[in-house]
Amino acid sequence: MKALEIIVQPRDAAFSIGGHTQPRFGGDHATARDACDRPVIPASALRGALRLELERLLRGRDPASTACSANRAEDEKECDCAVCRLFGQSGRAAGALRLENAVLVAGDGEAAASAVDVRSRVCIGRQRGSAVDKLLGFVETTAPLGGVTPAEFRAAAWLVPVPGMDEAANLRNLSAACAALRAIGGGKARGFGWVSCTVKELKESSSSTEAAADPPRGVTLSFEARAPLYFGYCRPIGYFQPTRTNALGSTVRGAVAFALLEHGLVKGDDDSFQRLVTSASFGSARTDGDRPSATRKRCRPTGQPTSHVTDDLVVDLLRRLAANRGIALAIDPDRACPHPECSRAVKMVPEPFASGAAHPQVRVRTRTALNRQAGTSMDAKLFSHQVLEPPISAENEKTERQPLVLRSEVWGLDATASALLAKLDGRKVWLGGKRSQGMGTCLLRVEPVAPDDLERARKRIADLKDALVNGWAAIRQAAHRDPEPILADDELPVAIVLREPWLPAADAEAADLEGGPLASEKAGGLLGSFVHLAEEGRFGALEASRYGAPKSVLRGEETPRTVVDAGSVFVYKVKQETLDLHLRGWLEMGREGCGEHRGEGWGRFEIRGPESDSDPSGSKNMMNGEEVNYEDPKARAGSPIAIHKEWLVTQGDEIGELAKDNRDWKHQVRTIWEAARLENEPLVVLNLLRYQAARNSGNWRKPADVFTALSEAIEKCRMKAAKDAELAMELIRHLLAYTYRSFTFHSAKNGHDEEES
Amino acid sequence: MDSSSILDMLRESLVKGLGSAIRASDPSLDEEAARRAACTVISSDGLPQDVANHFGSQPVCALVCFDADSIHSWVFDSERVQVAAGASDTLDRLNQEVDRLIREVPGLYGKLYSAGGGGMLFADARTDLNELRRRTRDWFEGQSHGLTFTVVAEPLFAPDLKPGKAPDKSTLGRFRHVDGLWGALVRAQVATRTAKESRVRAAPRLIEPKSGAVRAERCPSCGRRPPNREPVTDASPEFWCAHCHNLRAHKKFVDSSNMPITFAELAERIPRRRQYLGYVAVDGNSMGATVQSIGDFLGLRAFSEAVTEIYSHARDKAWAVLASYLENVKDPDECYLSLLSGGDEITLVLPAAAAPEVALEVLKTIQDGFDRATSDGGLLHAAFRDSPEILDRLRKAGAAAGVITAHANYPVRLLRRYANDLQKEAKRYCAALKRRSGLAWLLLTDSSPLTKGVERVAKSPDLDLDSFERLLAEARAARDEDLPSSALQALLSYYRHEENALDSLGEDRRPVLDLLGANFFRYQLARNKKLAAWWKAVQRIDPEIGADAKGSDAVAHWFQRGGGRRLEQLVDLLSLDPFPTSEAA
Repeated sequence: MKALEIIVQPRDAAFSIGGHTQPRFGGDHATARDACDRPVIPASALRGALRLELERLLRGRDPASTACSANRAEDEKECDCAVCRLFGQSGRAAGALRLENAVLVAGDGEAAASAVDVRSRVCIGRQRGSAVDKLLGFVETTAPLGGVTPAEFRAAAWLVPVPGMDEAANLRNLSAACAALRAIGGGKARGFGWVSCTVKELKESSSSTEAAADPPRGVTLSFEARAPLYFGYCRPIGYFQPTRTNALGSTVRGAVAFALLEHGLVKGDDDSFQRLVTSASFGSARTDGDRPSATRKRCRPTGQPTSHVTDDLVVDLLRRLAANRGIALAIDPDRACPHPECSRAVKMVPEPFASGAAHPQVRVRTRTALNRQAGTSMDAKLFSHQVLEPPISAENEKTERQPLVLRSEVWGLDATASALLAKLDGRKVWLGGKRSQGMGTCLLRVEPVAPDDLERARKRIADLKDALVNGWAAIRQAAHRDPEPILADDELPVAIVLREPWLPAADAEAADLEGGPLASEKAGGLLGSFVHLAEEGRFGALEASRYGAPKSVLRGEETPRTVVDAGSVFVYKVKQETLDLHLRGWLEMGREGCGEHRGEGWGRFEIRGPESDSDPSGSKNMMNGEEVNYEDPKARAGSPIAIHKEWLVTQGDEIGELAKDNRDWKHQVRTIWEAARLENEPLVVLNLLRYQAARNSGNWRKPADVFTALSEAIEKCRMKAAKDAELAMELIRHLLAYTYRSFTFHSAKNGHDEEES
Repeated sequence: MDSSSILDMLRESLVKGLGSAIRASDPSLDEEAARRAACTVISSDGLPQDVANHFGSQPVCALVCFDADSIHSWVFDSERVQVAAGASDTLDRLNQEVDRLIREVPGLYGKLYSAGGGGMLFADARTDLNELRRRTRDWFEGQSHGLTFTVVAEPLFAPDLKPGKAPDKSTLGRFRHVDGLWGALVRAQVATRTAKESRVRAAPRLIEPKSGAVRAERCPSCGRRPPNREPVTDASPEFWCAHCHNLRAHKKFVDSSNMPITFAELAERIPRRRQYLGYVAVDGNSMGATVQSIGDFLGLRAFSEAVTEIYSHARDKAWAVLASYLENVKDPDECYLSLLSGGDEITLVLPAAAAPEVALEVLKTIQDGFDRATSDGGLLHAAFRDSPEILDRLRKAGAAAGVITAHANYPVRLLRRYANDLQKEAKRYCAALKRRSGLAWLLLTDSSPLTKGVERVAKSPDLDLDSFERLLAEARAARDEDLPSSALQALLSYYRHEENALDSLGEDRRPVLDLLGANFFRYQLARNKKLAAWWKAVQRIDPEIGADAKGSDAVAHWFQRGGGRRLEQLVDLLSLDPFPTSEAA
C-alpha cells in the first residue's frame, strides 16, 4: 500500500463547498466544515473533482477506450477503464484510491482555522438590470485563503494494491489529475475555490508486532474512528441511505480480511488467512454503552438534563410470576419509577429504544452527483446518507472528547490466526462502506481478552436468587397469601441476555425456539422471558433479505425463519447440580455464540445478575457497571470580554435611555465610536469625549448629563482591564456600540410616541 | 343521545352476555334473576353470594384480551403511501369488526372494549380457553394479512368479580397490590404483556411471485431495482418485485386513483418553496396509568368509548384545518394520511406547511373533549361520578404531540421515530411541570445531528401549548406585516454570533445573551419599519408584553422568555410558510 498526501494549495480564493453542514449566521448554503467548524474539502468532493479532470485528460488522449463514458447508466457492468480502476465504480467495484477529507493546515503544519464569511448574492433581472425581488441569498464561504495567508489543504491518501491493477499507472494518473485541477467546489465562475494541486509520496511507517508467546484464543479489536463511518441499514429508501450504529460481525470480518491483504501481510490463499476468515467468530463492533436489554428502561419524566436508567428485570419478572399465581400488582400512579429518590407518575420507557441507537452521534450528509460532461451538479441527483461522526475536540475545549471507539470480540482463534491479527495492531483499516469517499478510516488496536470469570457468573446467579426470594416475600406479605414459591431451595435462576441476534439452528425443534438458546442444554424450565424479535425476521423472508440478515435465511426455504434480537432476556430455573455441571460450557457458548451464523458473532449471550439498582445521575450503565458518558460536560473558563459583557450591555442600555432626549447626540456618540474603532489608547477616546462635550454641551449635558455617565463608564472599562490597554479598548468599543443601539431605539420610540400623541 | 342513555346502552350490552352465561350455569334461575346478578357484577358489587356459591371453584366467565404486535412497524412496512394507508385501514376495520368476530367465534359473547388494535372481550368460561385463544388469534391474523396478534384468555372466578379494595401503599417498588375485579383486570393486562414478550412468533408465510415475473429494471410499483434484470416498460402487477407482489396478494394496498404514490408526492400537495413532509404523533398523557386505576367493567367501557370519541373528533378537526390549505387538490383526504387511528393515539403524515397548526388544533380539541366529557352531563362524569380521584385525573387529561418536519427524502419510518422522541419530550415536560398538554416540534434540516434520536436538538423548545400558539400567532403576524425574512435572519445571526462569542461562559451566558439580544433587537426596531410593525402586532398578541409596551423592558422580557430560541423557531417556522395562502383561503 502506497501512502500519499494530496496538497490543495488555495490561490487567494474563498471556498464554498456545499451540501455538508448546517448553515450558520442565516446563510442559505453552507460550506463544508468538520465537527470543530474548521473548513475542509470533503473526500468525496476532492475525489469527484479529480475524477472529472482525469476523465477529461484521458478522453482527450483517446476518446474511445481510455475512459468510460460520462454519466453512464447505473446498471452498466463492471468497467475496467483507468478511471474506474483508480476511483472505483459506484456499487460495482472499489477503486485503488483511499482518500480522507482534506483539512486546512497552516504553514507550520498545524491544523488551521479559518473564519467563515457570509456573502450575499442577488439575482439581477436581465431586462431591467436591477435586483430581482425576493431573490436575495446568502452563501457561506471561507475567508480568502492562500496569497498572503500561508495555508493549504492536505488530504491523506493511499493507493491499495488490487489484483490486475498497475500501481505505477494509477499513481501517474492521479498525479496528472492533480496537476490538471484548477478549481473546486461551488461558485467557480465567480472566483471561488481556485487552487493548484499536487500529490506527494510518503514513506509509510511500518509497525511490526512480535507474535505473543502464548497466543490468546480471543482478542478484542478496537476500531478508533478517524473519519465518519457508514455501515448501511436496509436498502436505500429513495435517495436516503440510513446507517446502523454498529458494524455487523460480517463487516468486521471483511474489514480485517481486506486490511490484511491491502497491507500485504498475507496472501489470500494462505492457510492461516483461510482459517481466520472461515473458523473464527467475529462479533459486532459496538460502542461501549451499546449493550441493549429488554428490561433496561429509562425514567422519562424527570424534566432534568439527565434521566436515570434502571434495569427492571427482578421487578418485572416478579410481577409476571405473581399474576400467574392470581396476585395482581397495579402500577402505582403516583410512583412509576422504582428509584428511591424518584416518584414520578409517568411510566418508564425502553432504553435504548432501538438497539445501539444511543451513543454515537449520527449526522445526515447530503451530497449531489456531478454531471461529468458539464462539471456541475447533476439534476435530481441529490442524495443523503447518515454517518457516524467521530467527535473532535474543539480548540477552546479544555478536556479532550472521548474518541468514537467500536469494539468487537473475536473468538475461536488458533495460534496462527491470532498471530495474523496481532500484525494489524496499530495500523489503519477501513471499516464499513464508502471507503473511497473518505469514510471508514479507523486505527485498529488488537488486545487479548480474558474469558468471563466463573466465580463472577456464580455470584450473579446467587444475587439474582436473593433478589427474587426477597421480592417474593414482600409480595406474599402484601397480598396476605401464601402461594407456592417461585424457586425451590435447590433451584437457582440463570438469566441470560443476548448480546447479538440469535437465529436458531435449522434443525431446532419448535419447543427449543420457545425455550430460548439454552432449551436443549439441560437448563431446566423457563422462568420467564423478555423476547424482542429482530426487525430482520419480522415480516417474512423478504424483509429479512432487505434488512441485511444472512441470505441463507431467505434462500430456498419454504417458511421464513425468525430472528430473536439482541437484548432479549431468558430466565431459566436450574438445579444446583445441573449448574455445576454446565456453567463452564454455557459461558463458552455465550462467548462463541449458538445457533446459526456464529462466525459473524450471532447467538452470543452473557449471564447477568439482578442489577436492579438505578443510578440517578445516569452516568452508569446498569448492564455492565461501566461508566458511560451520557452527557459531555464542558469545563470552561470565561474570556475577558465575555465576562464583562453583561455589565457592558447594561451600562449601554442605561446611558442610551438617559440620552434619549438629547436630540443631536446621535452624531456625537457616533464620532466617539468611530474614533474608538481606530484608536488603540483609551485616553485618546476620553480626550475626544471631553473635547466634544466642551464644544456641544447642549447635546451632552442637557436635558440629561450623558457626559458624566459615559466618561465614568469608560473609566470603569479602564479599571476592569487593569493595565491591558488592548482589552480596555475592546471594552470601550463594545460599550459605545451598545449605547448607540440603545439610544437609537429610545430616541426613535420617543419620536414615535410624540407623533402618536 | 345523552350520557346516561349511552351508559345504559353500554350496561345493557354487557349485562346481556353475562346474564346468559349465569343462566346457563344455573338453569333454575329465570331470565330476570340472571340479569339482576349480571347487573351487580357490572356495577362492581360482585356476584350475589347464592349465585357465587353455585359456581363454586368454576370460573364465572373469561376475559379474552387481544393486542396487535408491532403495529407501527407493520404500517410503515413500506415507503409507499398506499401500503401505509392500507395497513392502517386494515387495523381500523379490525376494531370495527370485533362484533363480527364475536358472532363468528363460538365462546365469545360480548365486547368490553376495543380500540387501537387491542381490546378485551367476554367469553364463556366453559369453553376450552386455549382453543378459544387460538381461534380468536387465527381470526384476527386471517383478517389482517401479515399482522400477528397476541391473545390471552384469563378466567374470572367469583372472588375476582368482587369490588376491588382500595390498595395498600406500594408493595414492590412502583407496584401496589390490588384484588377483586380491579386485580383481575390488571392480571389480564399483565398476562397480555407477558405473552407478547414470551413467545417467538412465526413470521407469516411469503407468497412468491410467479417464476420469471420480476423482469423490470426497476419494480414498477416501488421503484426498487432487482439486480441483473433487463428493463421493461410494462407496469402491470406481474412485473412487480416479490415484496410488492406479496403486499398486493395480502390486500395491503388501498385502491385510490388520487392517492399519491410516494410520501414525497404527498408533500407536494400543498405547494410551498420547501416541499417538506410533516409527521405528527399525538399520544394521550398518562392514559395507561388511568386504565390501571379503573377497577370495573362499566368504567373501562365508558372510558374507552369516551376516549375513542374525543380522539375521533380531534382527527376530524385535523381534516377541517387541512381543508383551509388546499390549492391544487379539492379533497383534504388526498393530501394527508391519518394512520393508526384508534385509542388515545393520532398519527398524521401531511405536508409540512400545515403540520404545526394541525397539531395545535388536535391538542386543543382533545383538551376540550375531556373538558366536555368530565363536566356535568358528560359520559366520563356519569361513569366516574363515584370515583372522584379518577374523575379529577380525567379532568386534567391532555395529550402530548411530537411534530417533525423534514425534507421529503427522509424515510417516513425515520420521521416516525423522531416524532415519537419529540412526543416523549413533550410528555416529560407535561409530567414535570404538571401541564395538561405539550407540543415539541422540530424542523430537521439535512445535516442536523441525530444523537439519541432528536432529543438533544429539541432540548429547550417551548413545549407549552399556549406558548406554541403564541409562536404561531407571531409567525402569522410576520406574514401579515410582510416582514422580510432577512430582518429575522439578521437578528438570529447576531444572536448566534454573540452566543459563540460567549461560549466560554457555559450556561452562565444565557442572561447575558438575553441582554445583548434585546439591545440589538431594539436597535433594529428603531431602524426597520416593518420589524417595528411586526413588534407592535406581537405586543397585541401577547398580553404580558403588551402591558409593558411603553417601557423598554418589553423587548428584554420577550428575550428572557426564550427569545433566542424563539427567533430560531420563528425563522424555521416561517421557512415552512405555515399558513394558508390567500388563494387557498
